Amino acid sequence: MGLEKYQNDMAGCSRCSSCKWVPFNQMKSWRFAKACPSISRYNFHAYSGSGKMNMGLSMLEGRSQLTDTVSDIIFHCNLCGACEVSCKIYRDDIDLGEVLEELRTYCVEQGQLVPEHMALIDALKREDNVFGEPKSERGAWADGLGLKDMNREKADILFHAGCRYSYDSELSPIVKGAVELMRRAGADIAVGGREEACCGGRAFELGYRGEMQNFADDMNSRVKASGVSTLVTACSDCYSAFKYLYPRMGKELPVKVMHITEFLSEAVDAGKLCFNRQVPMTVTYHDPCHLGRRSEPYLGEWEGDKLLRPMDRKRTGRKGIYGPPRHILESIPSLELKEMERIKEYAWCCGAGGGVLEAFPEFSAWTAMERIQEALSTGADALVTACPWCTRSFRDAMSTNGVRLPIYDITEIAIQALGS
Amino acid sequence: MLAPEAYKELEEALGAENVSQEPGVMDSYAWQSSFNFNPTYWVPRPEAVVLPGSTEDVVAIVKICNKYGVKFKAISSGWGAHAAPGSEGVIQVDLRRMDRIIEIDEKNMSAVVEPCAIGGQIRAEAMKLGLNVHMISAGAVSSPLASATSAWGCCWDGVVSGWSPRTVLGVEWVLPTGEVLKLGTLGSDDGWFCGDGPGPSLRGLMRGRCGTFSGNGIYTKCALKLYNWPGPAVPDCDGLLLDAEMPMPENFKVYWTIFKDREHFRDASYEITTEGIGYISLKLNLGTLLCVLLPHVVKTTNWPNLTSLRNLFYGVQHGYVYIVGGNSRRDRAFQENVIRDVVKQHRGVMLDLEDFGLATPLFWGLISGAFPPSSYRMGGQFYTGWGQDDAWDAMVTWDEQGQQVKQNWIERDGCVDDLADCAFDFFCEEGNMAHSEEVWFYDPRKKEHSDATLPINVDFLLQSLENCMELGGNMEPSIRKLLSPILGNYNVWQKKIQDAFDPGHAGDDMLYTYEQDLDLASLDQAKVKRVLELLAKFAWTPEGAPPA
Repeated sequence: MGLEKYQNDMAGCSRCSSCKWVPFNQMKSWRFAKACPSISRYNFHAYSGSGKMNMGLSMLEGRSQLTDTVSDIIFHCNLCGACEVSCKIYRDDIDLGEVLEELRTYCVEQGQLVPEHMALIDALKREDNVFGEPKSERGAWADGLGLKDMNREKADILFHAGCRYSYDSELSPIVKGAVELMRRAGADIAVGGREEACCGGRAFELGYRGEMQNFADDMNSRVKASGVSTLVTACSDCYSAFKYLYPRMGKELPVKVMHITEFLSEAVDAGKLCFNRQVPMTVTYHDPCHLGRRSEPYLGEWEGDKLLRPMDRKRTGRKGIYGPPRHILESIPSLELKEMERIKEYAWCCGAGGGVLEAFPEFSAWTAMERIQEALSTGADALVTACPWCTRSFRDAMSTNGVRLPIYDITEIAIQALGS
Repeated sequence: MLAPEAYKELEEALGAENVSQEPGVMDSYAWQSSFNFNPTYWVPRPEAVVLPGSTEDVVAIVKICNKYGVKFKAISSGWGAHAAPGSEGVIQVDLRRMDRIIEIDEKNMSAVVEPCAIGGQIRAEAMKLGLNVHMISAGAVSSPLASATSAWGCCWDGVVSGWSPRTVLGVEWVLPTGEVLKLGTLGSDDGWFCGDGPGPSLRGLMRGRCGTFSGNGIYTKCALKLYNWPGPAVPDCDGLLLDAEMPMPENFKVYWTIFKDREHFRDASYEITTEGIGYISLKLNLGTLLCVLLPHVVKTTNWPNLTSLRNLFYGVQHGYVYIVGGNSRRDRAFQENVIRDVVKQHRGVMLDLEDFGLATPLFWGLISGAFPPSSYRMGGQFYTGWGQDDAWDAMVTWDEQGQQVKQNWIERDGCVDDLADCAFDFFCEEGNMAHSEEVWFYDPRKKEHSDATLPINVDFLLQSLENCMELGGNMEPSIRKLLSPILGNYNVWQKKIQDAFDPGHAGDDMLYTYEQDLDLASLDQAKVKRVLELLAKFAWTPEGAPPA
């Protein structure tokens, strides 16, 4: 089926341009009114969600061809999903996010490949991680922590670190903190160590669905064999893959999947985790796209006329993970949360998604700096997020642009708030 | 075909990154499924797309168009075929990079804006100063500059904010020759505060009844009147539209008044509005509301077998929503009392929509301009049948006449069944004028609907002619050709203006002066005959208007 499956979606575009903006009743200023990094940076309509659908329809109808330029536009997109949130306020029958993903698959099938993405896929095939780092070093972050090995020992919970936390030495202390928090909450944890592999989500986003399915199969077999009842990850990208992409591909994991923020939030509520130490700081919170709108559970394929699809069968972004991180921050003494204008399902992207960080670093940094400027406008002392890709994107962009704003993962703040 | 030298000059003027001739990119401007008689919904592909960032850039583009004999067509937010090239040989000038709010003059209640500062952005900044901007009923995404200078429109807050042609003050206008003309006080270096001098006052030539749609130049900046906003500076709303939750400001209330028949509805609404009541007032009926809230339920219900339910919807169709916004609680109470008294006199019903959980989504959805795209939910697209601007009682009459046209096409499956008349009525200019559009929903992917677009329009035309009603905006070149002779041959005069301002005919005049023949062969020939009879009857002669 491929792109043809989405012909009705593309031909249904109202060309209203809602996809370029935050939901209109959440528009609070001129400065932070835009939703889509791609059209905001490059301005031709083709860069918007609507414009990409128009181009897709044009190709399907044989009016234009998939050229280097068109492919370049398709991949100059973070796949952040903000366009889809704004579109779906008004449309029950267009799955804009799926169209954007399908266009990428179409590019790959037609041989329109992005060299940086090919390198990433090669790395995945070779070493089971997106960086091409040695597979043997994957579990090094957990050395000395005394964690169970899921391949040999039984545990209740599997902690999945993900590629970024496993190999980014600046960020790997964050997952050490995360498992410390989980232990303090009484969790019985195992990790995959060197046998852990990429979730495959990035491969899916780049248009290489077959690769993603291989990783999903591998993940399923290891999880089943481990006997765990719950999988917890601190990586929002992995969480989105497990929660949404795997079920969509028919590879749903047979265990409960939680993001670390969900786990910690529940632990706070259950009295298993208590933040006793004051953290006198004003922070603002960045909703990662993959934890928010792109982690919304898969609702199954809607057969037939999408105009007849009820509201509760369309993914609107509202059911992403927004409450738990805020609950954690609000539970920390002396910490004040000041929200940015664009939050939750209409948050601005960090710039790292969709293979943009790897292939178009200038665009990625521009997107990140837009968010940093929004965070600075709140007057907060620091920006807190819950995804290693966001953290990396913000830190890199600031170092390039000479801007300073402390960036924390939420678990770093939570660790600070733990009493002795 | 654009000459390579012309493309090169565009690149040199704007930077290569702001010019494109990529077919896919240009096709993203050529897909327009609204206000398009062509059932494929593609319009002519532009010769190139350019992204000017300043007035100087626009001047350069226009001069290059004159030099190489190509036309230009400006686009801002871009909904509808009227924003796209009308013919081959047109460069699409996407003004998206020109999106600044240059200043807001709080004391003089005006804002200076560029073309792609959208209504929602200007509204958000104005509200921080206790002000608001007139957004046409296309909503927050529309460009207030575009509707004020180049098109037309009005909105449900028209009682307090007028309508778009009246909101414009000083204007910076790049003429089709590439010269820059400054209108109003701006033309005498006295700032932006007045559109009618001292300095040139050419608003009539600039925009006339419904604007030139960039057929006579490109407007690069203008000042807009702002209006009082008695609500919160930054409304604290959670939710995206229908799920909106927010504390209702205490000086605001939302009421739905319902009358037993059209006559009481007409008279009561007029009495209330001419008392200066309401921040927003809008005809609303239950069927329309249901279509917007639960379209899948409407579409899957077997309405022919539910006669009594359908009758219920028709029974409450004569309803009007008032959002009362007082400058104080006493002001609000006064307005409420006026509504209550008038409703009582006309034996109507007055419902406080807070009691039904609808107040907040309506209040903020209408004021923020978020509500209009809800019209896409039923089929994906909507059209309006001969939007008219006239006295209120004429507009209420048009509601009924428009409903007859639409009902006929609902029965023929030419458009979506929206259960009720769905007329879109509101007052403008303190009740001295009103607006009505018979909105119809359609699915551009459905052949029956796309094929019906033209004949429905012709039916509305015939209905207007038969009943001597106002004849709408006449944007479409074939309709313009038919109607100009019965409207004082206005297009003859428009062409003279065009010749004076645009000797090189560089502006895309498809939505301005161009005339073409209507494809009559595909239409009901009995209706065609009747239209032609009426047109002949009403045609002006060299001696003037036909006898009454």
